[in-house]
Amino acid sequence: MNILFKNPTVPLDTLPTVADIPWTAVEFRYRNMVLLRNLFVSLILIPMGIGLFFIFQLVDQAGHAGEDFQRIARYLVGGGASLLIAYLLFQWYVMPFLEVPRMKYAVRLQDINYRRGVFSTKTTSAPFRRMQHAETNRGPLERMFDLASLSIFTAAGLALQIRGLSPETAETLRDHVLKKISEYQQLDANNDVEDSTGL
Amino acid sequence: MIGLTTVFEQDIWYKASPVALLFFVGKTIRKGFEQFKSLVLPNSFVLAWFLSQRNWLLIGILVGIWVILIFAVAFVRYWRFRFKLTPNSISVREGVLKERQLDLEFERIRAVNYKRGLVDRVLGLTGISFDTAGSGEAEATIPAVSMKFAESLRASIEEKRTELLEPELSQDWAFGEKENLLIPTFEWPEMLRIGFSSGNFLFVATFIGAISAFAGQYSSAFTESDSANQTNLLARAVMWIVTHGHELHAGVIPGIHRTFSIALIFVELVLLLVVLTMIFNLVSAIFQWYRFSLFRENDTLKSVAGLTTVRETRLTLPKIQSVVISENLRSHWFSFFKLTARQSHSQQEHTLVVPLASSDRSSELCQLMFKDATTGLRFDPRAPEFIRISPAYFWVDFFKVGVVPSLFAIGVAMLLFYSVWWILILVWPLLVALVQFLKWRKAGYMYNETAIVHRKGLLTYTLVTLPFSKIQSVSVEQNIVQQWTQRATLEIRNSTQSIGIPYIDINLACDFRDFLLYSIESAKEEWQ
Repeated sequence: MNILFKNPTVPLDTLPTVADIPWTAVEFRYRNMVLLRNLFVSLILIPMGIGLFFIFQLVDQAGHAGEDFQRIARYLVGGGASLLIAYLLFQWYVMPFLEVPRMKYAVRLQDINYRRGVFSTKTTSAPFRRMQHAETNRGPLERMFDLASLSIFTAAGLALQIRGLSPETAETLRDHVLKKISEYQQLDANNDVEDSTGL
Repeated sequence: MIGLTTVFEQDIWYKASPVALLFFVGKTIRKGFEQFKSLVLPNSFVLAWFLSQRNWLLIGILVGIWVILIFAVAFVRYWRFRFKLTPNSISVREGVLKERQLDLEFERIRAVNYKRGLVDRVLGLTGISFDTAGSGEAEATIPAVSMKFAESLRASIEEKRTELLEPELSQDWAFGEKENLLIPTFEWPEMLRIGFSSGNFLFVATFIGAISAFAGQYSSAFTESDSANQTNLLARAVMWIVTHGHELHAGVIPGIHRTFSIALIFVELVLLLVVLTMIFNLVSAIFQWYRFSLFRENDTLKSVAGLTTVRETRLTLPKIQSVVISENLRSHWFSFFKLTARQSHSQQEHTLVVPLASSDRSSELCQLMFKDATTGLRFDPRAPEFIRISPAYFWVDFFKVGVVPSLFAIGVAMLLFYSVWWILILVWPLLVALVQFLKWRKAGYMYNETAIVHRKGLLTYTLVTLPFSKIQSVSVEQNIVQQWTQRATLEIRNSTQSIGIPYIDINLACDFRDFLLYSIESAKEEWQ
């Protein structure tokens, strides 16, 4: 375990740590947007579920299967459907209340960090030095709630996607990222190291 | 070195050699097959219905139209294809309906690879493709150019790259000799070892699926009232195999029971198909890896292999993002590994594969590829220096995948069946325990100040090496159990690979993340 920090010029306690940084939560109205989006999804899926239920009833009444099979199938389908419905209701209408306040980001001098998750938390850190481009996106629902999302790409693909930002914040962050990318390209060009595309 | 200008005049658009028509035919067939896969295969019931109509004339006309179309499109592609050279770049213009022109500066080119088919080799030609770091696949390909031109073009690109862009880099990786043989040409013993351990079980599984269909067809053939009048071609074939197979068995073992004989036919067919698959794998391995050899030229690794089509692949050493050393069950028995070095996320391009390397040879190659970054690291998967993953990894997945679903299933079964057969469900957690235990035993990691080696596998080992200087982003994830046990999963990503180390101490995971960010952010050199 001590191989990593043998180098005396980098003592562990002097390293800047992600744990101590002040986090900023995404916009609160993002929760309402997610709830509305989930309502739309459920309005599409519920009629499909009802349709499937009636199809099952028709199959059931056709009498091809034996009595035991019908009983087992009814238990299985009923049990499975109840569990699925409970899970979906929880995901659609309860999770946004828990999830959105925990979606937080932090911008440091050298990197952007993004933390999310309720039962399982994940913190991703992407250094500016590795970024290749950044873009902001605004879908119809996001425009309705005056929100935007920021996507940051490295050579490994999408590194971070922060949803639920105000358009101003998203654009400021995007400009900041692009400025940083440009700064690093300039620095590398001055150092005569490789090409300026980061590749 | 032959000057480029002595081979081709500059700033003139050249057509490809007429031999290139073969290349375009192959390319059009491949593209046509891809479209066939995406359009027709998902609607295979339509295809099956169409074939069942047995309208051979219509089928013949359609196949004829398809062949004519392939050749017509290939010819137009060949006709439209042009390339041009300037002192610092190469341009390629192509396209049937939409014209595309690509201008590639020599300094952007990372590798120049050759691919020589049988016709190319007879005529002294080669296909030449250019890789840049920004593309997942080959950026441009010029088919059927003379070897003289290809060599002079590559020399010009190398010269430009060395002069303009990478003076320090090239000095770092300067190697004295012009070309050094790292792995001598594979001979037949090596080819046999690769052949018998290559290929995938999917192929065998497909055959076994066909055999199962045979068994199903056989049983249905006999349940029908008059099996002699079977119209189904497959059923008739099955009947023929069964009848003749049984006669053959009866000749060898007089008085053999018919049921036993049929079971024997089934086993024989499976064995036959396994042998056929092995032969197929061996032949395809010979085609792909015949006379494989690996060279080093200063900062470049070059591999050459192939029977009819000889493929020459180049990878620049400082650009290598990750190295994977892997084995399958068969290569494990033959005691060798396959080594894959990647320069981009593409599975084929920018990838150099050494199909057969001993443990020591793999270590040597890794040390060569990452230079000082691998000091103190071991590339033998059985090395005791690997740090084990916490046993919590085993227990959590055992409960999550094995115990909890079993308890649920037992509950449902007891409720529905009123029988003791639910006890069979207990096999599931035992199976999960075995799999999880094997996975836990194989999982491990090892690191120094500059690189990490991640070990994983179920029955065999896979080692992934990532140098910290190539890392793109890092994540720390905690699920409920990890929050409770103060552990976390550390995920490290670069442009070719992502590794996840589960259930390491949360403090170590955070320290690791902070250190990785520090090493990226404080690095003076740009990522390459």
